[in-house]
Amino acid sequence: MLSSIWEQLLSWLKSLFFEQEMELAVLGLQNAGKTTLVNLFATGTFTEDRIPTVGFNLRKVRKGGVTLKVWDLGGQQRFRSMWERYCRGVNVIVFVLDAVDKERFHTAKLELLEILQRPSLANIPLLFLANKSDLPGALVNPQEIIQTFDLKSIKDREVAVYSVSAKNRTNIDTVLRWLIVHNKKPANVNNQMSNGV
Amino acid sequence: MATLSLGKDDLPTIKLKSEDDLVVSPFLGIEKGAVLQECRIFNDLHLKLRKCVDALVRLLYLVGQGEKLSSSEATEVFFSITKLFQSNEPTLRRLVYLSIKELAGAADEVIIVTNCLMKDVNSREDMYRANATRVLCRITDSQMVSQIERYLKQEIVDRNPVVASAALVSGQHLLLHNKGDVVRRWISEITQALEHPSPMVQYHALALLYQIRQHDRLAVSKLVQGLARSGIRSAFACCLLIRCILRIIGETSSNENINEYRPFFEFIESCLRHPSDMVVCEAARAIISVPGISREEVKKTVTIVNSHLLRRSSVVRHAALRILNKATYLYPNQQWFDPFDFEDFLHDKNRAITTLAIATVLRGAREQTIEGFLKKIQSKFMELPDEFRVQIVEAVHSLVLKYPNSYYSLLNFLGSSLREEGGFDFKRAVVDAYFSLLNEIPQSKEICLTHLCEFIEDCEHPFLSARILHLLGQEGPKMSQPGKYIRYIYNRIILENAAVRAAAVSSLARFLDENSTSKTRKAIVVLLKQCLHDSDDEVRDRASYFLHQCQRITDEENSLIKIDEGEEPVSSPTTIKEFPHLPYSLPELEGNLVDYLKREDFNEEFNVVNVPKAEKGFEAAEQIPMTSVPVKAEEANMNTDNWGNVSLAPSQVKEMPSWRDSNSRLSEIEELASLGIPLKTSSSVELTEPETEYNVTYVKHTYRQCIVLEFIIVSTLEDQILENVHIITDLSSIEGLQLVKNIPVSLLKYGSPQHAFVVLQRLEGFYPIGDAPCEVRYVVKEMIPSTGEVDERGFDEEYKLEDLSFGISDYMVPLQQSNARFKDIWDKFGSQNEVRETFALSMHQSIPSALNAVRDFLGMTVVEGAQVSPYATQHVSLFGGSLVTEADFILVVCYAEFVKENEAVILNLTVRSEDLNVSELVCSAIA
Ligand SMILES: Nc1nc2c(ncn2[C@@H]2O[C@H](COP(=O)(O)OP(=O)(O)OP(=O)(O)O)[C@@H](O)[C@H]2O)c(=O)[nH]1
Ligand SMILES: [Mg+2]
Repeated sequence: MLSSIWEQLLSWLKSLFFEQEMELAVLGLQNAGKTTLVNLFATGTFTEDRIPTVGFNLRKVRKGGVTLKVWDLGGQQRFRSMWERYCRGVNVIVFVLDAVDKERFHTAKLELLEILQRPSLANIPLLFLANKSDLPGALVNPQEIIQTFDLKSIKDREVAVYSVSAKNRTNIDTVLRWLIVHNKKPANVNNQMSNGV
Repeated sequence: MATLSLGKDDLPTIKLKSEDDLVVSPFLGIEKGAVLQECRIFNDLHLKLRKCVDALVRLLYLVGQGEKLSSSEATEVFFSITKLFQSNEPTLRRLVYLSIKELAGAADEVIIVTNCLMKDVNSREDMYRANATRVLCRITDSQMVSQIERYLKQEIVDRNPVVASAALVSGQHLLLHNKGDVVRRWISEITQALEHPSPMVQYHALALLYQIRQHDRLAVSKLVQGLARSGIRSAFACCLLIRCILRIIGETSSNENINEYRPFFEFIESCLRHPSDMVVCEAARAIISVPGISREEVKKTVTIVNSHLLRRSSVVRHAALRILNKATYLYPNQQWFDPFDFEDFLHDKNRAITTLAIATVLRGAREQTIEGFLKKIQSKFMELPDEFRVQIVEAVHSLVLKYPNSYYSLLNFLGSSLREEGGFDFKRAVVDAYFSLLNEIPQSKEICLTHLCEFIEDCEHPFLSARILHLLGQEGPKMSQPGKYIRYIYNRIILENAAVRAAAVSSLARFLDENSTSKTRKAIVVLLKQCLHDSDDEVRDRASYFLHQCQRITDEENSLIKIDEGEEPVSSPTTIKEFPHLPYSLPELEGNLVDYLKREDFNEEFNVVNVPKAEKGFEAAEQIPMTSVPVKAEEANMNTDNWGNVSLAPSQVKEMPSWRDSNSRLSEIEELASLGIPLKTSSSVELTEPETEYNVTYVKHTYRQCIVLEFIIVSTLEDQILENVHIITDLSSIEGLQLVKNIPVSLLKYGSPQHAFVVLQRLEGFYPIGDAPCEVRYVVKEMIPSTGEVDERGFDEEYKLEDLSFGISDYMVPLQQSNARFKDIWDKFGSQNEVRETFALSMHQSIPSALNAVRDFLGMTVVEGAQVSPYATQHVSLFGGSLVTEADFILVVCYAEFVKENEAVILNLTVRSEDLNVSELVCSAIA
């Protein structure tokens, strides 16, 4: 017991001198804009071209003294069963939704619930991003999103919901700030819904 | 420039500790579990590079040593490795590439690294680009390949030779694994690569181009023509070109066309002057194997080759010798060299060369010189290791067959080899030679048997002793002085271990035949009686069995009472048969006996009739017209493999045992005698409905290159006779089968079965499968049954029969019983020759029925897992069989997993063989 206190102290000391590192897994159906968002985090620019991710992508992003290690996962059907392997042990699971693709909301919801059920991923906070808010007809109202995806039912972890646009950079900074602040706080188990406007 | 291999300094872990000159491998004691555990560090948030490198090196070492990872182990470690892409450290990245290549076969979902590899392919590091390309083509599948194609295509024309070669080699790999239709679109890039300044790229480009076009003769000719004229610098490419040309010439059948290839031939000749020894040897080898080549050409070539015999490099010497060896083989009556020139080779440092030289001389030797030469090599021969001696024994063997008159001196050589020290394989080769000679050269029999008798006096291999004892039992009684052999055999009973003693008992009993004198008989009975006190069960059992038989014969002779017919099928009145032929599957019989013993209820008799499970999976067998055999026995015989049968002869006939002996007339047909004994005979199938005018059944006899159909035709009409009864088959819908002979029944009378034959030739490389319509045609003549008077005005008629059907089982013979374990064979073939498929067998409600159907369908032996309860819901069986080819057999093994689901049985079949195409053939035959 004493030793665990020492360990905590030690890691706190370390955090003062060394850089913080944080690991994210970004998932969601194909064409949701995951790769685009991760690129935006990394380079600050929006790139239009659409190349599906065959497998996964790894990006390292430095923001505000924190190095983000981001696993950007392919969203096509055949890769979904492998998401879990890259989510184990990450600090945050980021789920990206194409907010205009209403036909696939149901599939998205099923895939999300499926992955959150995995025992290996218990308690890992979830960041839910409804992307492409710039497009007409996009689902942008956080309350509606929470309802559509039944996010209230997730009790065992922290959940945050934001409506974002990679194209117009809407809410991007807020999200980044949330991530960085989030890393500083120890992840505790409460179901506090934070949401952006 | 980037290198593709790992340099020494890349492996920080390999530190050879030397302690008192003792080098301890850094990998000593490495164990799979520990390494897999170690690989978990790849998932850590902070990678420790050094440790990761260490772990990967150990993992690669393990896999390289042949350690097998299960699919889940491989997948687990593979996914951990994918996380290492976060580091850009070159050493680590190379190890990652290597590991992924190693794991690509065993792990699932390897496609996940596509994106990471594509990034590397597009990077600026040439080393990354080349290596990532090679890995990429390993992990990709036919769906994904179109997405990476455009990068490969670009790389082919890359300036960097390592990158270009990597792309070309990847193209070959894709083609080989049937993922490569895209490759055909790269022709212009590959042609461009032929001109690359690097010889390596030229070679790879030519290899790929040829691989793409090999089935298009015209295109290949053009390619070769162009290159032969312009010349190509790479020595490897030159060799390849020579091989292509040889293939083209070999495929050309008529002589006129040969002239067309004259320019090609000239190219090969010019290669005889090439600066590279490799090219010269390749060209020489090609020239002597061109069909119809003139003697002068061969002579010229051999002269050039002879000059290479003096080269320093032992590889070149060896290659040159091989060419000479081939020349002696192809042109046996020519003297290509002076055997005395070869004496130098007897003292060559390289033993492979010595051996080859001896074998070559033996092959080309003239009869008069043999004896002298054998004497000369005798002492050298003793010094050689076994594997080389085996080759020489084989050469001597073929020499005896060539010069039967010199058998005496050659047998002396073999005889002294038997007395020498040597391992099992060597001794077996010598014994094999004896066995064959004994049959080929009858006058040598006496000497052969004497040599073998002397050999078993001091033989440390029970397997060979048992074989020889069996042979003595077979041949000894026919020789002029059987008593001589009896003494040798009896000595074994006193001196040997149980297996040999048992063989000796059986052998001894064979001397009790009709010719044996009563004195011999008495002596043998006394000897056998002594064996009743043997310490071993088997020996005692055999002895008492034979004594019992002997008693019976004696009784019979004394009292002249006829034995009740059918009481004991194994005893024939005057000769002792070795052992009864058991019509049961031995593993099943054994299983049943073990069960019976376990039940410990000995009031109930063991019921052999229940041995093979009665089930209804085999339709053809159910229709066999049964006459005298009781129904139960019929069922019992139906699912029987004759496991006891070691030979490849028809051993899987699921039929009354009498079929082979009495029903088939195959051996009586003179025209078919040249075919020899069939490799396999199918069970018989009815081609007519019951109770119709005619009754026709047929069986298929499988030979290497043909199938003989034997039809048994019975007429049930009393008032007519049939003449020229022949079977007409329509083979138009079956590719690869050709009618060669039709042997009709000349006269068919009421009630007496007659046999008609159809001989079909199987075209090389084809395994035709499908149904063929068929009918019987004949001339009908009316007859008055009471008087036997025949109306000579006959008329033609035909009668439609059921379709004939051909399946993969017609080309498959059950596994030869061998010492190799299934698992070893399985591992040897490896996953690259594996095909997996899932089938729903909806016709079958239980696993035993599905299992038997699959076995019959494939014509294979169940190596393991033959027994299964009808209520089982899951079961695994291992099958083995040998696919017949023109010259050989191709071993095929299957792992079959049966799962019962609702009303059907699901079969997950994994097939492996030496050749991926064969695996595919077997798998596709089921669908
Ligand atoms: N209008 C609009 N388009 C966007 C936005 N974000 C991404 N896109 C577009 O959506 C498409 C898909 O983006 P990707 O980032 O490749 O999608 P992904 O989720 O990585 O897809 P997979 O890798 O197949 O799983 C691209 O054409 C992007 O330009 C956005 O905020 N607004
Ligand atoms: Mg993507």
